[in-house]
Amino acid sequence: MTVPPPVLTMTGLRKAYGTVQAVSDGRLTARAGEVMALLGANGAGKSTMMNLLGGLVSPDAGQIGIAGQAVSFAGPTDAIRAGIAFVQQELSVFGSMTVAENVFAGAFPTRAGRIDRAAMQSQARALLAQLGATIDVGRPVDGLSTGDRQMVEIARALRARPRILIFDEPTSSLSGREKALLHTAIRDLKAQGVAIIYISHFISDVFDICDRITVMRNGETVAERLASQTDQAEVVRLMLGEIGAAGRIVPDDAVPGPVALRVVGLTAPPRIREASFDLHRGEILGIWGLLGAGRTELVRGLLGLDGPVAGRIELHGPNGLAPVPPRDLRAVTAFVTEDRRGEGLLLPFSVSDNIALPNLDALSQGGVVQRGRVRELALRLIRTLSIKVSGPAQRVGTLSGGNQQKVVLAKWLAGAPTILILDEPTRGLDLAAKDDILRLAVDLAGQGVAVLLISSELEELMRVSHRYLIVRERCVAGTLPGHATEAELIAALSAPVAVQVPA
Amino acid sequence: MISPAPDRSAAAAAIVQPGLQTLIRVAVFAAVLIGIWWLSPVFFRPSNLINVLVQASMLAILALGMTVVMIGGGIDLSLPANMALSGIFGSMAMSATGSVGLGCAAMLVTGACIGALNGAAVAYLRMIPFVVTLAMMTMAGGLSVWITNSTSISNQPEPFFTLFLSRPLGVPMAVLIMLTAGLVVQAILGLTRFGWQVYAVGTNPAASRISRVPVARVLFQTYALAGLLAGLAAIVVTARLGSASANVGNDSVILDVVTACVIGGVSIYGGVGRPMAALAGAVFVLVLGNVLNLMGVSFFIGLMLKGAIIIGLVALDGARGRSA
Repeated sequence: MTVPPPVLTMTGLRKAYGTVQAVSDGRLTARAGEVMALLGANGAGKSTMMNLLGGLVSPDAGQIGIAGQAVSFAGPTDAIRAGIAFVQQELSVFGSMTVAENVFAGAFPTRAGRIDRAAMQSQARALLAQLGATIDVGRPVDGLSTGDRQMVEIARALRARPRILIFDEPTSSLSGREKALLHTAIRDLKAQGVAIIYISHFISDVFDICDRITVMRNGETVAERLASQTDQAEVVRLMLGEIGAAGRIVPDDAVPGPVALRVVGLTAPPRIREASFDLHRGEILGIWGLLGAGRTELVRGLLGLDGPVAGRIELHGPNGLAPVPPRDLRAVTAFVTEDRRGEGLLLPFSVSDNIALPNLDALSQGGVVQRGRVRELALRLIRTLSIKVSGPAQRVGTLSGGNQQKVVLAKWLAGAPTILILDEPTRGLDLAAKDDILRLAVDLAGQGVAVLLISSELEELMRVSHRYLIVRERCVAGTLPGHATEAELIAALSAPVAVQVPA
Repeated sequence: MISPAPDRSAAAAAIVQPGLQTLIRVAVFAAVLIGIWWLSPVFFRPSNLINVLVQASMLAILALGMTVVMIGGGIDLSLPANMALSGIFGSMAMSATGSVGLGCAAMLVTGACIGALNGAAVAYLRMIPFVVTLAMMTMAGGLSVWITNSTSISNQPEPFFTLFLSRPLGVPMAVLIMLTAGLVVQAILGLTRFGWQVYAVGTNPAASRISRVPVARVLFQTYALAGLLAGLAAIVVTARLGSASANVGNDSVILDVVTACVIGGVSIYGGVGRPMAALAGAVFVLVLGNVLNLMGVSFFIGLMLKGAIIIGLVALDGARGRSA
């Protein structure tokens, strides 16, 4: 097979946002009639590369070439004119408008100043046929399945006859059958000579549909492989890079206490599928999975934060394990969310008021908040966690990230939780602060608290986990013991089975 | 990317207003007072000042209710209509039974119930406060006109007027009620668990929920409390006017209530405000009306001015949200 010349080349791209170097050496090529996967962990620079390609931001350095011609985009319109189109991750359709209207939204065909409905409908039908989809173009989009909506979205992208079509996380909300249809449509487009860039966290999908794989890490393109000449394990390794020798904070063989929480068949499609696991007292259970695998969805579903879930949650109580609703679980769980500023804290409030908020019942007498007790509690926790503040009255919004995160922990510690859930607790913190937070988690586990820890950094996870819960493609794939090696953990992300299933 | 919540100043308890805002408010207030003194020195006679407070009492009590709702992040446009309907129901109960106690209770209960309906729709059915309370305003207003046939009910028993028009220690009952209500609401918001939760919910409902604040219940209670205050305002205004009618809740009252709150520094974005400041705002709105009257300015120009004040102060509030 002869390799066609690339229709798109991006070389030596650099882009910084303020002091953050989002992309430092971005390279990729896309060829007509080929599906190229762009992979990378969180923060690898994929989104920035796509924003550069879409003309949303301009590069600090480097070149973008389309069919051998260097181009520079002043805005999205230039990119569209150059033949670039995106199928958005969010299904951004207008629900009450018809399929045809959605396909042509923003560029209705007109005749004598009026919308030419007949032309619009026949063209929409033709575009959908190109995807192998048969959808009544006169129907409102509201009544369509997620998969059909996606087809409408693709048809809209095809309207401008793009040479390069980018799919950003196209399968994250699709069922298995819909995914298969999507992949058929992508193969059809490929056969029609469109260059396709496919971004996904689902590695098995990538191997199902893609010809070539480009891997980015920390803002750099680190590898390009033909899909036929690599495997899932190598790709995951490339995405994550070398992981520094992990200095464990705790031994990996702690004897686990009794089961504190048992989860059986937790399901909330499409976010969580059939998740089952045990969490023991005194253990740190590291949730290991790629971004988008459903780690956050799992813990939020457990706490009932994103709507109803099916399945059973059992909590250890005076009479042993007993089923409880998520609300009861929330009452004994400290939850450090991944969105510290948006959900973890009330930024305009003082340190002491933030600490007091979840503990108002204990701090009030006859409904009246006891200010003395609030202050006392805040001072005690500021001391225990060595939070650097001018005093309990300092506004939380003015603290550094590490100290803010300590305030989040402080507000939960006052209530002596039996379960602690940490979702990316060290994101955006400096090394010393990261260490502080991890040590706190270890101390709490030592006191018998059952800890669930989510982290995108394997190194961090390996420093503290007694056991690993492998999360893959929205379900719990199994567990690995605390002494699992880095290679085993990485393999667990891609291997079809190969992990222990909890007894 | 995480979008930081608007970093607005003023914490729940340590309610500190940014200096500039307060300065502007005090300066404007001072300017108006000087203007009055120049126009009509009689204004500052104690008897006239007391009179102004009596006139302001209804508006101030409604503004207290609005403050509670606004701090929680909502708005209740139905408060004046609620007050009118509560006054009518209570007066009907009073003239039918001759019982002052029963009549007053009917006003308070009616007000609280209408507030609770608003609260249930907003908190549990997750409807938009603006729409729910606008609809409630229309319904309560319509009902008031319908059951009274657009007439006033003025056959309240005499003891009702004796009680609420009395002047213990020389201070009119309406003023005492207004000040007591202001202090009580201020204490509820500043000192109680419920009050802290109202500020938290108004500042960031998502974070409040994670922090185990019963967000829906708190929101429901803010509307119910505001409704109760509308019932209290009904008592005061019925006594002062000597009758109850649909007209006391006319459309310009809601403008005055919102003006009083924003002048008092209550943020329409939620989470910020002090009841006593809103009460002062209500007095200011009334004084402003008096001044314009003294100057012979048209009522309609007054409306325009109040609208402009709201827009100006809300713009300031928005700027504070962005800059901090």
